[in-house]
Amino acid sequence: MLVQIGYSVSYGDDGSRAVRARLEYPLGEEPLRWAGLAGPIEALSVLQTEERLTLAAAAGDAVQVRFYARPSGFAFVDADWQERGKLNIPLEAAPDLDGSSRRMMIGGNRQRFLFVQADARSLAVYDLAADARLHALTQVAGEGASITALERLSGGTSLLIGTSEGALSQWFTNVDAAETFVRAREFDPLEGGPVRGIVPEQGRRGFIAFTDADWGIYHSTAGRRVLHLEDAGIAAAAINSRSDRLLLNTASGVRYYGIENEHPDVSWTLMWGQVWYEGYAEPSYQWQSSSASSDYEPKLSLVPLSLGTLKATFYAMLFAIPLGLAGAVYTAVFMAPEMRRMIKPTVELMAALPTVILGFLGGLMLAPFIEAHLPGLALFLVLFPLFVVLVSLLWQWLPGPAGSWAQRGWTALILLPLPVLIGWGCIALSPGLETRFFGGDAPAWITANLGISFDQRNALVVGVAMGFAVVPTIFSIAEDALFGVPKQLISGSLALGASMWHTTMHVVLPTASPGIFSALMIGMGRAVGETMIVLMATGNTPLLNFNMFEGMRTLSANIAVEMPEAEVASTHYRVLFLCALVLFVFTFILNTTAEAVRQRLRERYGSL
Amino acid sequence: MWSYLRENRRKLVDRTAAGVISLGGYSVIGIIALIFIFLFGQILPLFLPADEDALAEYSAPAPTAERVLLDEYGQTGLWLDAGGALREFSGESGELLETFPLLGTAP
Amino acid sequence: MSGADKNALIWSRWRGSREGGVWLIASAISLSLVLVLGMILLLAVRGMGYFWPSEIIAFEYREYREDPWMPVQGEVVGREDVIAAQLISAGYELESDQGTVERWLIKVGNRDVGPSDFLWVLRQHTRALKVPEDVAVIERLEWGNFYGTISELHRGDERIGRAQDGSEALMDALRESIERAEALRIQVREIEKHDIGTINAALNALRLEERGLNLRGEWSPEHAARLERARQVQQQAFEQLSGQIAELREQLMRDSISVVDAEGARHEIELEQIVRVLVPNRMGVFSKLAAYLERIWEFLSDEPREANTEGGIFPALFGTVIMVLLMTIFVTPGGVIAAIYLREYAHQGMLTRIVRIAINNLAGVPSIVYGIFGLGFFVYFVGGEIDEVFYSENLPAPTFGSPGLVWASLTLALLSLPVVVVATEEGLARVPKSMAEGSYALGATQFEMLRTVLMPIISPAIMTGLILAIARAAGEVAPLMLVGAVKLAPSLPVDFTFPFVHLDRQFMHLGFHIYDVGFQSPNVEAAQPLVYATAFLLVLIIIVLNLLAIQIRNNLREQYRSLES
Repeated sequence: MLVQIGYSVSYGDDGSRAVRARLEYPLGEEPLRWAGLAGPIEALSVLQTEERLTLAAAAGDAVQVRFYARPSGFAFVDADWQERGKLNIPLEAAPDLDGSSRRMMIGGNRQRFLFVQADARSLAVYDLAADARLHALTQVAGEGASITALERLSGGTSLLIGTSEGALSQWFTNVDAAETFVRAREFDPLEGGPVRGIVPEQGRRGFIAFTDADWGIYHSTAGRRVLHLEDAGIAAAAINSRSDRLLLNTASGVRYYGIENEHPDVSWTLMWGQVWYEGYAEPSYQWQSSSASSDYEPKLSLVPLSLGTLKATFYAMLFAIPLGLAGAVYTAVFMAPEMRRMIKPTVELMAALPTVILGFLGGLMLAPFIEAHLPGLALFLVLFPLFVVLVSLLWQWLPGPAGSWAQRGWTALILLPLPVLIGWGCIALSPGLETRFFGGDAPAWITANLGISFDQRNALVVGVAMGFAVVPTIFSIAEDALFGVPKQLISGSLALGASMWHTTMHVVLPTASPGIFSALMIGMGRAVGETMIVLMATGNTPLLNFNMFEGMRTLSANIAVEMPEAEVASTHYRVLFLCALVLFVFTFILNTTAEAVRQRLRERYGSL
Repeated sequence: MWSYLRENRRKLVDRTAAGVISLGGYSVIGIIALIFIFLFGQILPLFLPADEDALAEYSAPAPTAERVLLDEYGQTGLWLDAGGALREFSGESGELLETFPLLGTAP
Repeated sequence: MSGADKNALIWSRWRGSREGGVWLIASAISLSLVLVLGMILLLAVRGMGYFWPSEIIAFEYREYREDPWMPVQGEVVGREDVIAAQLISAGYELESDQGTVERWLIKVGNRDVGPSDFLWVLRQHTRALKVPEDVAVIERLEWGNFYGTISELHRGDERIGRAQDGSEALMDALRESIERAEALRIQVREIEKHDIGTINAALNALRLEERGLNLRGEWSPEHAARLERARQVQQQAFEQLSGQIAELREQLMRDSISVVDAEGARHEIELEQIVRVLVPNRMGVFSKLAAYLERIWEFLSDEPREANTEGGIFPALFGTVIMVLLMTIFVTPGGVIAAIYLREYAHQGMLTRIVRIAINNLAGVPSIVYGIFGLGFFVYFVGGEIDEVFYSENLPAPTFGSPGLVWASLTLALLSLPVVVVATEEGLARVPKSMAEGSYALGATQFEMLRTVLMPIISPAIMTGLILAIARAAGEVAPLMLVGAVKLAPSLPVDFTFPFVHLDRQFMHLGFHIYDVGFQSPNVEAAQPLVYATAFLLVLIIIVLNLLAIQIRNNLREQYRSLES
């Protein structure tokens, strides 16, 4: 008979709590008859979901499986179970089970497999969805060992197997094409003989295992043992659903423990190593903290997030360093003083622009624009520098006052219309180029011919948008450093006959290099912590590649997205704080290094 | 005499101001440290080892009970005895609370 | 020198001085300038252009040759060139597969009538393009704009139709009626917001009082009777007000107009729903300008409608201002005192150096870290404790234990602290020692010197720091996502019900508004123009603030030049 245990909780006037058991009989109070089974029932297994109930009973030479279903939904609360089918599975005799009964469990991938002990060391796996076809016959215990415990982990997908040598392992049917029954991981073995029992935790992927003399609390995803104690004659164990009370039935009495085990699911391997999660074909780095289903296995690897942060920072610096440094060099060394006085406040203004606006423009305007004009933009990257050099040459032939403008440092102003013109031209040419060379759709062409997948909101967009935010930072600090190079050094070099360019490259830049280094550090610090731009300009999926045309999820964007929904004091909550601490420490190191370098620079040139 | 009082009052004001300003300075520094400490404090429990605390011990309900269940709070337990009856007992004291015979009277 | 020789000289000089390289790095500045200016221009055009009454066009449209010609009417809000090859592979029928095809985004409105209020059409699929004179755009409270011709005005039993002699009688009468409806609507809103709001607050207070009495075990029949009587009083007041509202509503519902849409179907629109009626194709520049200014004013002063895709952003503006005000109140004393302490009172040694480094570093910490600290410490910890002690009747619904105005202001105050401290310290560093020593020589105590000499001199520096902090707080969104800002707040954080400043309420914020409306909006095409307008407003505010700060700083420099000489 099937008994469902419920508990009713009542509170007394003094705040004390009384809990009493309440029994229910989902399949009726009459015991179930298993016609067709000869002999005493050796093993039973039950698996219940919202809509399905599966019962299996093994006796002697056969296993009978019964399927029940009930409609679910608002109108059908507590409807009755209707029998839907029966299966009979003949079993082979198992001579080496020496008297102890067979073990059996329903579970596996989507809970549709039946695992029956075929002999001392192996399990037979039957596919219940395919008419109980034998799916696999796998040896799960080592040489000379035998299976002594078989349990199902919370969630119903994984199996826990204990052997006569105290070994513990986790198995499941893989999600590869063949659905192989594989061992996912092995745990620290117990001493004191064979594993007597395994008790799974409810609500999370942990379990307790005990031998005659030893017991421990484990966690499956993290792959570790969190508690390990010795005792004698342990016969049974129980744990409550809150995982804070443990009962051990030992030879010297019943022990009742309070357990503090708040975060067993976090370990160094889990956060930084590859973990084989249920539902994945192999070990991998994953960040997926929750999902709609309640039996979910949280995946909390920090690797995709950290890589995402590095990726975003990399592309941002790729865009920002050339623009920022080149601009700083020109402004400090070559630019006309009057223009420089105007440029500095303008750049400060640029620094004050809210990143939410940059992110919004990036995601809503720039991303579609780049996707639609990819060839044109690539053309611009090539044509613009060429045209600049060309104009610089042609300008030399310009007569008198116009020609000397460049000499007097107004080049940047002169060049102002050039990006507009060249840009316009490239964008106008882009559709033609795209039709001729890329079959009308450059992103599709890239995916098809180069094997690079293309997202509209990708790292390129983030690079440009975030680079925009970082350029003013790099510019200001680098420009200050370059401008602060003592004029005597410059005059000296020029007096020796070097050109201004040569002086810049070989005197000014090296002298100011500590300041430039500091500028880059601080700029990088800004890029690492940027949240809004990443949130709005990428797809926010935790990817593991450095593909310029795909998005990413960074540590900062992750905190912003997941923190409002994280349950206070849960593992997820604390791991988000860990992400924040990582960001804090990283920017702290960057900024302190930069500041220290800047201080030294100030001291060095204070005397000159 | 009045200048003496005035002088003291000025000193008092100066001293109080110095105190308040110092307090303000310390508190700002303290708050900055607080951020760091709070972040750290929220993360620390992740790395704390599991701990057990023996709450009670009593003689077993029956030496052959192989499967035991506990309720959500760990207050009440159930085990199946050889006669096919579910025995409900208190987790903390082992005291038997109720027996549910499942197989009727037939063993 | 011959021409060829001259050319060779120029060429070698150009190469030797690496002039090309210099121009190349100069182009970085040009490019950056073009990008910044272009960006601001984009925001201005797309943001401010939205408010200008654009002309309504009408045409017939069909996508495939088998389809019948559909009449379409609306505003052109977007124009782009799409590559023909792409469209063909998507299944469109085109005249040729070369080059690009012009595509329009038409706002057809009429969201309650048709499948969607925006339509993408290819120019080559249209015919019979015209600019009809009489089409009106009717801005409504719900369902967005309606495009159609007005055929009749119903004023109670009176019917005013389109005049045959071309006079404006219908439109004049309509304008009158709209004004009347607007006045009635304001009255109803006043009663609802203010009077009924007061009653609700009173009822809530009674409920909490009862709960509190229960929790503390002081319940008694006398209390029950008293509370019941108070409730009755409120109930009576409520009924009276409801009656008033019902009357007003009846008057409101009296008028309506009949309109005909592009396909010739007739619809009835209640005047109660109408915000504004324009006939753009007949308006001259001045009337369009007047409508333009009116719309901008509505944007700044009105509340949002239709899930933030229409109406105004006043709550966001107000929320930002209030929060920034609170933040300033929190950060100014803290920052200034800390800077003064560090420089004037503390012993200058290793400790102060470490503290200075720490403060400088704090300026570079990502804002989201402040956000998570604010959420974990202020909201959950401090807020939770406050709830337990002071608001236990409300539990389990949180009062201060959830994101709100005060926590957001505190978090941003923390964020801006380094800015204020650094700015104040820089101001202090500029004060010539002679001033301080002079005042000591005259017998001042340290505090007196501070109060009379130092503070006036450094106040511009403090103000600069504050302005920079305010500019940052107006645009910083990441921490606010966690500690207080919401997409739509039911009420303003400051209103006329006690305690007037509701520190526990959630609020709207300009920067957060841009994020939310731009990205979480169900109708992106409708929301976009407003996001651009909001973004432009924000940029404007920040530019103004920064210019102010720069101006003050320049004045400062002038001031010190004269001091030192």
